[in-house]
Amino acid sequence: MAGGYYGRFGGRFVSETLIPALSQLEEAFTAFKRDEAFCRRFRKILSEYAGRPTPVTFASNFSKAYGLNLYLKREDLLHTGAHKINNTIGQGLLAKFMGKRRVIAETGAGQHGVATATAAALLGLECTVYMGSLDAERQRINVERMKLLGAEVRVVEEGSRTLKDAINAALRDWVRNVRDTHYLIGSVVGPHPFPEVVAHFQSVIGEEAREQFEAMGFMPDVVVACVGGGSNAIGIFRGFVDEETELVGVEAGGLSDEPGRHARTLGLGRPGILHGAFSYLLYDEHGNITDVHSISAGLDYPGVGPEHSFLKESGRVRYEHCRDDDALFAFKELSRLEGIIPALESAHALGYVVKNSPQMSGKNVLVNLSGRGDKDLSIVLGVKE
Amino acid sequence: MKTFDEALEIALDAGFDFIEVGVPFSDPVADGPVIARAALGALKKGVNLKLILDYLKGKRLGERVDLYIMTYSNILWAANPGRLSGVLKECGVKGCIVADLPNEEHPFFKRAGFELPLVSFATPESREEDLLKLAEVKEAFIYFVSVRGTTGGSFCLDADTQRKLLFLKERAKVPVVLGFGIKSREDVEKALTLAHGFVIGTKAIELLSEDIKAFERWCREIAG
Ligand SMILES: Cc1ncc(COP(=O)(O)O)c(C=O)c1O
Repeated sequence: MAGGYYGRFGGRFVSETLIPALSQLEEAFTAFKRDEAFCRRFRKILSEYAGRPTPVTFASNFSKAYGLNLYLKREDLLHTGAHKINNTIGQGLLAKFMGKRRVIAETGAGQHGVATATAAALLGLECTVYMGSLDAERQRINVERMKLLGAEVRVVEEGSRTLKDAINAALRDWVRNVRDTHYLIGSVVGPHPFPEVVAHFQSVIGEEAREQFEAMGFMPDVVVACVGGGSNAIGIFRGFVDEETELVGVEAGGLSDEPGRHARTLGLGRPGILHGAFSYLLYDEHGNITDVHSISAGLDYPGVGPEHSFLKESGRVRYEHCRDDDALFAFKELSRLEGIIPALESAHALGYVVKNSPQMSGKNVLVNLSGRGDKDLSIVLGVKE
Repeated sequence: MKTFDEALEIALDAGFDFIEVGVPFSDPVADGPVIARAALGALKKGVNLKLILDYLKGKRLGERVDLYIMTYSNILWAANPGRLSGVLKECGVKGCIVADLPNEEHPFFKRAGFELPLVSFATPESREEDLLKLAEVKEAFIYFVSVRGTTGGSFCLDADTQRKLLFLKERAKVPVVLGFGIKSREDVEKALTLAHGFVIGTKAIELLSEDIKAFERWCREIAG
């Protein structure tokens, strides 16, 4: 990371109006990391409220069935049911640190929206969440949860009515209210310094997992995580980049490789500019963003965090994909074999492992189980056998 | 395209010195609902950069008025900035206004071979250090965005913003033009006491989507 770029990826491609706010955020973030009291408060909330540290579970039945050693980093056990809370508590405290009274957020599956509303309730911040109307339909329960938590949910009817459009709406809100509002972005995307801020707060996943493996006396051979914007993946990868460990990011393969039927940003996209960063992106010959598809609302995004683009080109991380039906299969398989219902997002990482289990035979494989799957039951039940 | 053609002639007759031609982008985050809707509508009809450039070239519009392209970063990036700047020059385009390209990222496009002037922005949030840097700008003009927000909204400058504007106008080496929310003759007169020029977008598009006669009357009124 130098001057807001990871190699050639990153930057701050936003309206000039937002530049001073991003500079302020960068300065505050640097000061925040050095502020003992705030850091102590962050760790205390993570442990006493959110439920850290999360365990690493050895999935013995699954391991036996597939001929490898599967370990799960259990972010699904966190309060609100996903890794998203690590980031929202961190940024919520950062917003307080900067003296902002209001936070706004975008949400796809609703997980980040719920986690933001939760942190806002805890910390006494006003909260508005933008959500595409298609997602609001798919994830009605999460809309109700956010409202219950005191957040205002604004449904976005523009464009593809999904995550991308929710981010557009949040950016428009931020430009108008930049003086008293912090944009609590939900993944390692957006203009600098957001990708670094979110990566910092999520890196607790990898740090913990690394210590947990050290205590067991070995390191995993492979670490696998799903990649939407890329925050749970960066979070766990950061604990292992300096090891020999193989790192695999799994994107949503959707239905096929045809344009509009997948969300394989790193696999099939090219570098481009959206939502403040130069990074891999799915767009057409004229530069307009392509529609994407995934069974999982949290992976249904045409962009990806700039650090992933860098890690792809440097070769440190390999990016693969998992199709909708393989993710569904893994969703059911983990539920049946281990009594753990994974989020459909995390099921993409598992689906990749299932599909490639012959090549991983006998290896120690760590999967970031980024969330739990209760929110996805209606989607899974809605899919015809 | 027919409305666009007529509108252009009307604007030229009314005596505007420069014309911005918007190239639609699928995710116009800096725009309010009126321009965003117009952009998405144009995209649906198949409007794109190449089509617009062919049209501008055919009309030799660059010979009659200062012509600027207004768009988003990814549209320029996708066209290959190095190759595109040659094409833009051939079409008589003077420069580009890129809504999601802040001043500090201009070098990103220059490094990629983009040779045309990129318009710099000042805003109510600009700090003194930003304004001093803007005073050194030598390309195109400086676009002072009058409000915190997207295009549309109403034209109103608080005292602090007026102070920043005058500070910049006194020092700038290129014209400072004011935009966002300007709708009426009254707004224009106010803008001209503070800046060297003004930009109008939303109101023009609003009127054009109603009827061309209203647009024509309004152009005359604005131009005074
Ligand atoms: C459980 C879960 N995992 C993963 C993601 C994808 O986001 P990211 O790639 O930033 O981890 C989401 C997003 O909503 C999620 O809810």
